[in-house]
Amino acid sequence: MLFFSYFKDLVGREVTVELKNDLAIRGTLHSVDQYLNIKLENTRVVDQDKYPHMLSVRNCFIRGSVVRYVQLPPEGVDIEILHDATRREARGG
Amino acid sequence: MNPMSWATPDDVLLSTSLATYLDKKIIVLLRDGRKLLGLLRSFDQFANVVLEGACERVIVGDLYCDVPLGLYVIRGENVVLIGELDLGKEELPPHMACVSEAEIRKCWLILDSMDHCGFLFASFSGGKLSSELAFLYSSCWHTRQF
Repeated sequence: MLFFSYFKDLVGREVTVELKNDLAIRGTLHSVDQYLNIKLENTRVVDQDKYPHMLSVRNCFIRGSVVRYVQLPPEGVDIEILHDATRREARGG
Repeated sequence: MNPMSWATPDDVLLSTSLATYLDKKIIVLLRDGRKLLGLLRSFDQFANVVLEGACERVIVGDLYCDVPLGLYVIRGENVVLIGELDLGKEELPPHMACVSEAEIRKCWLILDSMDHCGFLFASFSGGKLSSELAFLYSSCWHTRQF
């Protein structure tokens, strides 16, 4: 549940989601669920020319199982907090 | 079920639920690279979806074709992405041309056979492909998916 909580804290931030088929989509993180399915708003595809069918897609749902990376804003990563949370989770608390 | 645990309209709007796309025109990208368009009529927690008036958008280079399919039930594991189509925007760039299904299948076959003998092609022409062939060849690679 750690990364679910982590991504929930990032809602409203601008992220880039790179999929396993190399499609990279930038947009505002709207929501995330326990499968790490992601909903993005105001999306734009990073390589628009290569994916013309995505031109009119502004909002999208991405299935968690096809995500390779989520690129976060640098200020969205607090290693200290993640580190502490990981230890707490490992202790079973 | 305890009525207190039911999702309120606000919960649905703020969740990853596909409910906000119900009865809207959506595009579904599949794991094999296919692109299906249609009206979202039903879904579940696995992203299994029902598309009414579904069609497959076949794109080859600057040509495309919408092949009508009918009512489709898509198993969730094949879904990569579900996008809401903004009806106020052009679905495709203006330079792309709509052609018949026969035409697009022909283009597809040509590119597919080029893909299979791509290596031979490159070696026969001394590693130099004409710009036109190179373009066709590259669009062939672009249409490849995982």
